[in-house]
Amino acid sequence: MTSGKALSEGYHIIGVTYEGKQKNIWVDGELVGRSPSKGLDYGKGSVAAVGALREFGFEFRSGIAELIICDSVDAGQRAAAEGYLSAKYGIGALVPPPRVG
Amino acid sequence: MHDGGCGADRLRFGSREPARSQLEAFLSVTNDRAEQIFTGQLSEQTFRLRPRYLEVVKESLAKRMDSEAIGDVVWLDQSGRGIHCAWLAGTCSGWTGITEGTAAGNSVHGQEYFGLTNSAALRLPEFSIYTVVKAVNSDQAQSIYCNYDNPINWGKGVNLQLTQTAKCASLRRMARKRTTTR
Repeated sequence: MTSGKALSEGYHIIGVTYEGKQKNIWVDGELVGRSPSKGLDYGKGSVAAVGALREFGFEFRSGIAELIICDSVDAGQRAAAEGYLSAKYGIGALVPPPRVG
Repeated sequence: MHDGGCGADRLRFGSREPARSQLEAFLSVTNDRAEQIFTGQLSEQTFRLRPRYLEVVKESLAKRMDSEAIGDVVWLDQSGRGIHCAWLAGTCSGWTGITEGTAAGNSVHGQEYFGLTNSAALRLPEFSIYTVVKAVNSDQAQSIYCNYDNPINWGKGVNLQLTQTAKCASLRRMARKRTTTR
């Protein structure tokens, strides 16, 4: 599944969720990809890596500021995680507006 | 003569002979000190942390860190689960850690990647990933995170990446034959 919207140059918050029947991609809080999913087969030898598809290449060539992995899919969790990243790094319009009064 | 003899003895030992208790105390102290020096208990009294010594210690530590840097944990899991990122390839120059308030702290240069220390714990049937990355043009797909295996050139697992110049985010379920030659 690929997002339907290209990312502009610069820092973005990317959120993805994967569950039994559906997977989604958000960029800066906007849903940009959704498709049905199937069960995952990792095998017994999969290796988790950040910054490349392991030794097979496809290295990331820019900045990775933070990565959060959760073992569940939940709308409240996503809002909290994206809000936290937005506030921390000053990205996007996800920062909650300050309370007035 | 008899007075002189007595006088000579007094002059030799002083005006007053030391008390037995004083002599025992003196011998006790010197014997204890000798034993302590012999057994190393008093070594700290003669050892000083001089500047040159500290420089040598610092140099040795730096050399040891350099020699052991590859493969060491350099990006710590902050969730408390202990699934840290270990540097597996490339050089870690420029990896300055996460800076509060800015996303410009960490960057990879197309030659490096981390391996997580517990891949099995991350073989999740369902999951959410949230990340902050800098999108740049590239002539190839750029992998952000994967939990991937490639037995007999047959990809398994998942891969989150940016595609080529379109820079779209892509979450791929890797359950098909991998045709890329890289």
